[in-house]
Amino acid sequence: MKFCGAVLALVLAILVVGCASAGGPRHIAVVSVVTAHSTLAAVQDTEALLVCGTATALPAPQCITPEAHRAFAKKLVTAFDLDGQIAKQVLAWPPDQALPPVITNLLSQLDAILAELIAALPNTPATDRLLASLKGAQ
Amino acid sequence: MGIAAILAWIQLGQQVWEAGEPAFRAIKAALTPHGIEMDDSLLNAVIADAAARKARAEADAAGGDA
Repeated sequence: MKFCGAVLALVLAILVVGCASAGGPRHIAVVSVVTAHSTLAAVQDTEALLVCGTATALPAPQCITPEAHRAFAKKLVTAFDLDGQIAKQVLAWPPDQALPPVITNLLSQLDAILAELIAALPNTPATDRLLASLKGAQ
Repeated sequence: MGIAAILAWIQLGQQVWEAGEPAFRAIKAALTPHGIEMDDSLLNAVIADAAARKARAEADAAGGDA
């Protein structure tokens, strides 16, 4: 099971279940937003360690070229934009109302970009540590 | 994703919540008298950090150093 798909599935599943007696769906959504943001931040920090020429990067082809780094960064711009939008939507979500569909749509978009970003990371020990920490978070 | 996987995720989510609920309620009770809404504070922190990280990514995309 892909991690990112799992994140979205977890978010949606918990929201559907409701957890109304234990903090409410809005709180669960907040936890999900924080989790997604932390994942995205970890991906950004890990990628920065792998750019060719940095002290922490491995030699080519196990490092990220400047061109690939810029392409990665462009996707990160979109991802963090979605990240912020989701947080703002949840912030504006009145606790006594149903989950606004826009949140689900934005989460789907973020999920897809996260999958692309993780797939673009080269196979390195740093990548392995990132994936292990994400799995540990599950 | 199969039904079994989805059910496993739901069960895991419930376990995580049950484990953290006492701490959550304690912190919330401590902050509420001061007019601090914990969930909203977390969301505002995410919004601020997302903006900062987006700016960093924009600089990288424009050709800045990693």
